[in-house]
Amino acid sequence: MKINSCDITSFGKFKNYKIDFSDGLNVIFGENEAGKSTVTAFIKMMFYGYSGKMSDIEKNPRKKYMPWDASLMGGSIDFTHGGKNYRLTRQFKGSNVTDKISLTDTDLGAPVKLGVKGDIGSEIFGLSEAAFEKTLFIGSLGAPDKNSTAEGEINGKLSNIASTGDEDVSVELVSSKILKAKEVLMSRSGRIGLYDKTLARLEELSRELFGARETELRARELETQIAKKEREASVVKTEGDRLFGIMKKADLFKKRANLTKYTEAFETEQKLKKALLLPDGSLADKTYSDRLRDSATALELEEKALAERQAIVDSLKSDTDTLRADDSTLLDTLKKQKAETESRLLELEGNADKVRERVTSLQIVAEQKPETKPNTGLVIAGLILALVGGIAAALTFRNNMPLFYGEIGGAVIGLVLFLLGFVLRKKFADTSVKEELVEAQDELDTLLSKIASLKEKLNSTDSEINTILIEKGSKKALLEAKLSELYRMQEGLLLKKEELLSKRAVVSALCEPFGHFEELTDALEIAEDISRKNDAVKAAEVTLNLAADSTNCQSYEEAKKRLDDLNNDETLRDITPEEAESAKDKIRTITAESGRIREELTALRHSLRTLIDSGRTVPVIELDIEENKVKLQNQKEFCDAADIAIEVLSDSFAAMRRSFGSLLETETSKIFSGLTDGAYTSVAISKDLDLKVNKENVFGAKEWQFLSAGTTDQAYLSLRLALAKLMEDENDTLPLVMDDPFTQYDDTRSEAALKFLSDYSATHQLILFTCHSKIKETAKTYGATIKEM
Amino acid sequence: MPVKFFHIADLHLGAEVSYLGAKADERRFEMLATFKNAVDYCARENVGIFLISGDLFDSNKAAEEFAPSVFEYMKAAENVKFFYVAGNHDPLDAASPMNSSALPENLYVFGHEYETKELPELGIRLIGRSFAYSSMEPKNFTAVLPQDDLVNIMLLHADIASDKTSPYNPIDKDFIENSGAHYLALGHIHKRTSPAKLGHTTFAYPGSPEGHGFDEEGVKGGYLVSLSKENCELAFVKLCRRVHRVEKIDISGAFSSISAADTVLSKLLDNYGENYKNDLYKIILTGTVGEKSALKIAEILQILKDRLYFVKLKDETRQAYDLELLKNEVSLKGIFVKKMLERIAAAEEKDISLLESALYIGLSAFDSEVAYNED
Repeated sequence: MKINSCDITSFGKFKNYKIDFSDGLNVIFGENEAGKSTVTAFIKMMFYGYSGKMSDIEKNPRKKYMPWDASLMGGSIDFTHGGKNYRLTRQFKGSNVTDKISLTDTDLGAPVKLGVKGDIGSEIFGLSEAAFEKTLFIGSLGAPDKNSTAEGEINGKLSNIASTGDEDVSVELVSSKILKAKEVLMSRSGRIGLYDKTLARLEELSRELFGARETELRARELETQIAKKEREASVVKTEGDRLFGIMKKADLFKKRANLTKYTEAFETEQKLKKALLLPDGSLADKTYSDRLRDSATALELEEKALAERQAIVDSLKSDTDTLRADDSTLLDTLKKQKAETESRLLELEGNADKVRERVTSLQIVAEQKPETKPNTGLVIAGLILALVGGIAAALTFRNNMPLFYGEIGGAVIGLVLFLLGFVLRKKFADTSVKEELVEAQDELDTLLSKIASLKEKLNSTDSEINTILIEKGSKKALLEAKLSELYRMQEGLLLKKEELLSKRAVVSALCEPFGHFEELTDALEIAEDISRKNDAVKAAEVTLNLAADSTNCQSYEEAKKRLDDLNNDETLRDITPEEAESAKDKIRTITAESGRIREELTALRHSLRTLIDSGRTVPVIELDIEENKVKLQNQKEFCDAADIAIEVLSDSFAAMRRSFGSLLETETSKIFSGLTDGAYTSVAISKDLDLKVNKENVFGAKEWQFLSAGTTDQAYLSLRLALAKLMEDENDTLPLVMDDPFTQYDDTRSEAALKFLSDYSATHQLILFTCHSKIKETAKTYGATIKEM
Repeated sequence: MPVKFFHIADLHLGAEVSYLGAKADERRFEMLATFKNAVDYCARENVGIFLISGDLFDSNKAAEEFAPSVFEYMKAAENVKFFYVAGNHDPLDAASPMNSSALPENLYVFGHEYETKELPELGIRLIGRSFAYSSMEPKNFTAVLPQDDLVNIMLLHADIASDKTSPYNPIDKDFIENSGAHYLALGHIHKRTSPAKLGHTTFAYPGSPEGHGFDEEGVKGGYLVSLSKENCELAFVKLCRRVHRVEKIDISGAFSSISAADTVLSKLLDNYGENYKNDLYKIILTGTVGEKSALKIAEILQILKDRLYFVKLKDETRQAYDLELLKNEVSLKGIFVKKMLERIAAAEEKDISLLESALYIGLSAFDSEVAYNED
């Protein structure tokens, strides 16, 4: 490749400035500020533009080389590449993409199609901008003093070239940048890196999650306990409600009892009052009963007295009646008895005559056939009497001596009769006559006996009649006296009776509304009953008043209705009043239990609320964890990528050392020897990237630090040239643009270097900018094309 | 006549959304407004049934702040009947707002066990089961749902998972197919799913009505369901006030932070129209930038923040490298690139991204600085 000319339309200080370059060594001479660096920048900008956006003018060539007259920056370069001639025209705008670029095959006069990226150099030369820059553009180390800082920089550049092929790049720097970036995530302390913090955060979240789950479990336990307590509370409440219901029923029972008491008292009172109701509508009160009782009692006393007087009257009347009856009745009786007796006597005497006649006739018959035989009747009668009397006497011997003696007497009589039967013999003609005679005889005897008895009775009656007739006269006087008294008493009695009848009527009237009055006891009972009922009314009134107070009813009807309602209340039928009363005691217990459960529930709910409020919930933490896991993963991937980058960097460095190092060493040695005109034979790069040089006829390598500044610069130039050599295409060498590379050289070295470059320009186009006229002059001697700026 | 009802889930009212920084609190109340928006929609459109398949609140603690407003909105929509199952975030535990005595009369909360609620006047039967805790074991709905004149609708906060290892009420296809429901109103998954059908059961996750992060991007809302025994049609109803959007935007060629920001904003305007500024963006900057780029992420972010409601940036731009050129470069950098490219070429697909990261980390180290860019 060869640059034939630069035609700067407008770039930095240049406007319509053209500079031609020839093959071989071109030395462009210009004073300071002549624009040597501007031409260098123009060449680079033409091929690669500038893709950066740096705001710093010094670092941004689009700004740095903005034409001073504010015209459009641009120009063209003619160059030869691959045997073809091209013209590259570029008008600089905001960016590589927007720059207006054209490439013309000048041999054909035809445009060459370009990509859109704007870095034409990459397309044409196959070199990146960096590679192009470090290959084509060579400056000097420019460090006249080996102070420590400059020495470090020079050391770095030399080492960098040797180790990385780029004076601005060191493997340590690259590695450290990566490590530093990684350490932002994973710090050495393991605490302050972003990854460390995310990890710590995840651990923290993990603990929080664990805690939240524990909390949740605890919350579940609490909820279970709360649910259990609520059930208990519900049971207690149900029981409480039931008991309260029962207790209310107790009240209802009480009300019902009071109402019952009230209504019953009312009804009792009414009933009692009704029983005491008088026809005039008033009530028989105590006064009434007292009056009745007093009236009745007085009547009783008077009636008793009247009865006594009546008894006396009756007695008198009886006496008079007796007296009157005795006179007539007894006498009449006696007279009647006398008549009857006389009549009977006549009858018996007639009968006795008839029997006497029959006895006489029978005796005649019997004398014709006399026969004696004991009197059987007497014998049997005597025997029975004797036996009965004997037995009775034997039985009563100890107990009743008078009877004994009588009975003994009877027995004796019996024996006498027995014996008399044998003595008094009958004679019969024959048995039947004899028996008939006996009978007739007996009948006659009987009749005779009766007649005798009647005669005696008749005599006695006559005697009595006579006596009566005598007494009758005296009794008549007595009777008359008594009758007189009787009449008098009877009159008083009648008056009293009338009086008592009047009083009795009063008592009867008093009794009449309450019962039948017959006896005085009836009146007293009625009076007592009225009194009792009055007491009962009073008691009922007291009861009623008390009951009325407890029922708070305005009327009996209201009380009755309420009582009926309560009596019809089905719920009161399930329980007894006793159960209702006992509910009160249970309620006290259940109320205490309910209070205890409520307190426990409140405490549990408070605990639950505290737990719930104590932190975030599991799902929220899990989301946080997920987000942090993603974050951690990204951070980890960056660190892993950084590790890979470092690993590959290390591999690359080793490969660089293996392949590039020795080539660079060989090529550099060759150039360095040429540049130093054989004073130094070779350059060696140590493992620790120190650059060492071997001097002709001097044993052992020498570190560059021991070299002069000029020699060091020679070494640097050698490295750069060697690097360019290694990077270029063997078939198409690249031009080298050098910006005063010999500033540290003395004349001898400069001449040697120019000589070397003159030789080197046989295969490479060299464009050397210098502000040193000596260089320009020396270069002329080596056939260089000299241009003045 | 099909029955119409509205189905939402996973609103997560009260979620901290701390990633939004100063906007977080405002955003929390925007989500509440979104719920009101949904309720108003039903009231306006005469949709009488409103199903909430869990996680209405982000937590029962968060619910303390938002439940009163939610209940107030429900009460105001007196012609709408709300049916609710609690999810893993707002389980029906002792702290649940659903234990409140001030629950609206038009809200029915399903308990820990399957419950059935029949609304013969509307021709539907609803079945649901709430989470009691932040996790729930699966439980098959063993009772056979009557297949009568009523349309069966089941509400569940559940994870469709065949292995049943999910702690969040995992259900499988058999469960769905044998549920006896004509529509299974699901909650738990925040990404909306299209309706699917197993047996005669149509099921769908409506997704969260508002995104809670950039993993929940896109327009969000609920489903308006028109259901009969024979047919089930779902219409998506947008509810979200703002949309989470993740945009990869190539800023290659941007020469300054301002131009990069302009590139981003132009792209957003093109994609989402004039209201694009109201949404929430995660912008992933891609493309290549020059080695000595003047782009500064912080500067771009600041410009975008001034123009957008919320934005976060992820820088995935890479410097403009011609790797083919670089790998042939006789330098450590060249060898590094070559070796990295060799590794990438030989790597399995899963490792390529990591190796590419390593390559660009190395190149950054060669040319400038290496920095881990964390959103």
